[in-house]
Amino acid sequence: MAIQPAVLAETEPAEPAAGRLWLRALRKPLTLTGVIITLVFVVLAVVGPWIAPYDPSAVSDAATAPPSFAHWLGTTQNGQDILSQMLYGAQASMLVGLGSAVITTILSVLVGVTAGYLGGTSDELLSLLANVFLVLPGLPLTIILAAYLPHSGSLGIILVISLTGWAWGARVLRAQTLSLRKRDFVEAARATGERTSKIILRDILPNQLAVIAAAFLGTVTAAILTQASLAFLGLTDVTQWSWGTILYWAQADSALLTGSWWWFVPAGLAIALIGTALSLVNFGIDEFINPRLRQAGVGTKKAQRAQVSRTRTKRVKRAASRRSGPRQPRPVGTPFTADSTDVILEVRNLKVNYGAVTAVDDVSFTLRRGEVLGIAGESGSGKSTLAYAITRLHKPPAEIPQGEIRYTNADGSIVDVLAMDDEQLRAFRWEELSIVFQSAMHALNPIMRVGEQIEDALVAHRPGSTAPERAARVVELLGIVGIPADRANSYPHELSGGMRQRAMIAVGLALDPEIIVMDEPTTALDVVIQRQIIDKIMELKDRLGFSVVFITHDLSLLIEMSDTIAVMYGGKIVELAAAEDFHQRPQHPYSRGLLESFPTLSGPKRELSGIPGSPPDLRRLPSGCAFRPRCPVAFDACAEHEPELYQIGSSQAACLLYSSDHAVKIGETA
Amino acid sequence: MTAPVLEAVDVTKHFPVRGLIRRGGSRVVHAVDNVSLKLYAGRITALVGESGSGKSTLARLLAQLYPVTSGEIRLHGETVQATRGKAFREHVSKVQLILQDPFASFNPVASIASTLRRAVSIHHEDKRGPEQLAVIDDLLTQTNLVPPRQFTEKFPHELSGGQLQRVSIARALAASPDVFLADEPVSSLDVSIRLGILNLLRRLTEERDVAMLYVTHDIASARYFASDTAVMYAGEIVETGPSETVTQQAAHPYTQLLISSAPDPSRTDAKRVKDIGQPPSLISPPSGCRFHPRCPFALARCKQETPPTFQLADGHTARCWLYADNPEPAAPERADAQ
Repeated sequence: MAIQPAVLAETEPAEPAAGRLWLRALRKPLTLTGVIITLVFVVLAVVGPWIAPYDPSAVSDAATAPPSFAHWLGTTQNGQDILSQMLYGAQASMLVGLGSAVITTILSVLVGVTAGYLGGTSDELLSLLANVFLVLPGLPLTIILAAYLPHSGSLGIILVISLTGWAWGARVLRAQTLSLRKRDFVEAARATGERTSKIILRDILPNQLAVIAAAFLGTVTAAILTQASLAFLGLTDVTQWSWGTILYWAQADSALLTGSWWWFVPAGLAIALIGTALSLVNFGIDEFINPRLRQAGVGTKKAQRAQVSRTRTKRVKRAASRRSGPRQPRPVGTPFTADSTDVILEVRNLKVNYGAVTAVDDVSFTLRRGEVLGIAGESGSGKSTLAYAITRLHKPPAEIPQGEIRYTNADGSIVDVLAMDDEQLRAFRWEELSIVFQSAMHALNPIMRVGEQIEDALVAHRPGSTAPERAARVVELLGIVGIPADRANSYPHELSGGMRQRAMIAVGLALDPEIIVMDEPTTALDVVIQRQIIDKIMELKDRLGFSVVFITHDLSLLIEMSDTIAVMYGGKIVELAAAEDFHQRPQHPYSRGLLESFPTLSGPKRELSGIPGSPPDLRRLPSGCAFRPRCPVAFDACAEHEPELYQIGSSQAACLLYSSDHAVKIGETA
Repeated sequence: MTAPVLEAVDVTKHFPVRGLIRRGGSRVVHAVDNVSLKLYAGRITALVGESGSGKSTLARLLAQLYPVTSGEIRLHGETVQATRGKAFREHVSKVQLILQDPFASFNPVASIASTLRRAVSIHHEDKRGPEQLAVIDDLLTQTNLVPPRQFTEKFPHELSGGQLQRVSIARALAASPDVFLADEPVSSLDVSIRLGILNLLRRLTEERDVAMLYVTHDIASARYFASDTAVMYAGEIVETGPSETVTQQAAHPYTQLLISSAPDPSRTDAKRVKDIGQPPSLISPPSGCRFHPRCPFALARCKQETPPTFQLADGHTARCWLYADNPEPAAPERADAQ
């Protein structure tokens, strides 16, 4: 193995320094509005007593006067200035809100994080404590406690709210800590030799900030509301001004009956306004804390757009109508040969965009009846996006601005998959084409028995079938993939990884599809299990005669099982060849590099050269050929021209070496 | 050969099974059973096995992230029992673990610089400010992340998997350890960049004369990358030896199954070991040889007796009754005759 210097330096615009990033959060108008309103209230609360024009309790002649120049917000029945009451009241309300939130948050963080991180006995004791506080009836307790502490002022109310409120937050934080504690980066910090206290402070807490902040802001609103309710009910010192006290007096003096709206509206509005403002801040906070979300430009508006942007004319006859007639039997047992022209799926110039990023660029290929087409590629090569696009399962913001996907029915009629409406698409998926995903654990519903999930597909697509028919089919399908029939009643977690993956294949086979798209179906499995599954797939393919699109990064596996291989790089197919030709004579420099990256088990040890550098970032593709920065044979023209697929013998490769202008073939020189 | 740097001697790790009802006393998962392994300076030892074979647990026992149930971990010949506190930090400054998934092993809200600065401040306590930065630059340069300043201000999600794995190697390097425990360091990376990471690990092993444990499920990579290979199955080491011998003349039927299952288009012979079962339960592992329910060559005694370690050739061992001088135990009638 030669030691390759890694080409890792990337040229990209420098990111703004972390310190300035919070400014970006403020650029969102909603968050900014929330922050400004909150700040105004805080400032008013601080300076309120100094700028209040009157003593809030001072009685004057102007009884129940509507707003005027002398009294901007009018007066009470006793002629007290409501603006002054509001300003004094802001101080009491904000103090209760912020004070309770601070104490509540400190209590819940201390208890929750300690319990979650330490575990064991301390966890059990602290959780018990939290649970006891959680079942205490909050409002009645608050009322009773407040009634006993009427003259302790705001401090008493803060204590009451904090004591009854901390347990919920502690529970949430404990659960979060438990899951964070198992994460690799915490284990990595431990393995580095970090102290527990530092791990909690620097690894656990920063990742919980969003939750802590949300709980904090929520508590502020709740505390202001609770204080207002208590005061309104007369359970606090009614001579101490707060927004609740204003409402209490307004109610006591029948402001509603006399129509003195200016008496109660400002206090109500203030409470509503601060609650709204805090919610707005809350929305922005996650974006501010999570560095991943800080990157602006992950457009959600685009998500509303249609998946297929071009409106298509319905030039093909309805696919659904064919379903009403009897199913055309498939010509079983015709083995695939390399010169077959029986095309079942044809993809032409397909393009898939994620916003401004093109993930699949001008991809064309054909799949023939009974063929196994292997699509190889690294992360970001667009291979999974292609799989989703073929089945139109791609989710916004992905969209298909260009291309055709033509499917040939058993009777010879051709339909355009991209022109199908929802109804046709539902019939097409699973009946004509099914998908087996990478993670069987996630793709299977954990709370449904495996047999029921297979039956579900039958119920949805064969509405006429009877229950015994379906049950028989489920047993048959499980038998096909090699799962004992009695496992039909198992839940997914009761099956091993290999069994689950086979169950997924059984779901994929349920409706006798013509094409099965498999997206890394064995990547998470061990080699021994992978071998069982692959052998099973190949056996089923020969027996049932379907075609397979098999997507994986494992080129060795692909060469073993495929008839044809397509190699993707940077969203394009860079080589398309029969598997045997590809193995013997890879044409594209990237294919050669890939083949030379795999350690082999049989035969003598050979030199592994690998490929320098990293797979490309689709957001910043290099000019010309995307592989150019990593290519050992790149020349000047590679930076200017995007190579198309050139024919070399029976293979096709997208490399300028094979364009007519560059007659030199590396296959001959090597 | 010189003395091993880090050594596991008859190490066993059982995890208690948690359940609402504890039936028949405490049930345990036999994650690692009676495993001995030696790591030498300047050498890479591969530990190969499928998921659940206990290979990652063994690596974590060597790192002292868990306490052993029985047996000993020896560093430079001295027994260590240090799963917490100062002694633990002492141990990990000599033995560093590199985890599989580079995307998960970084705090997502901390920049690369701040993650590395923490490691540096633990292991270079005397360094401050600009000196710390110089150490960080040096670590990144050693792992081929050049120029270093282009990486320090980034957040984990802004780097590729290969780059992040280099950063995690840099983080482990901060301790200047004597032993690296690399737990599947490349299996979550793209094929084309695996080789670069493996070459980097090999260069560090040779240049710094450290011992390296390379935990992997990919036995082909063990052949190219490690001088010695140990194969684990169901918590036990079933075969050890020089990597070339283990992969080319595999002795244990499990190793043979592993090799014949691995995809390899250049294989010419279609001979394939037939697999007849599923990985065993580790809560109640099979009696005798743990591989016997899946083994095409299983003998009667494999069900009853646990095979000892047989020496096959220089440094090549296998735990399989096929290599006993007398594979079938003495038949009853012969016993009678004697």
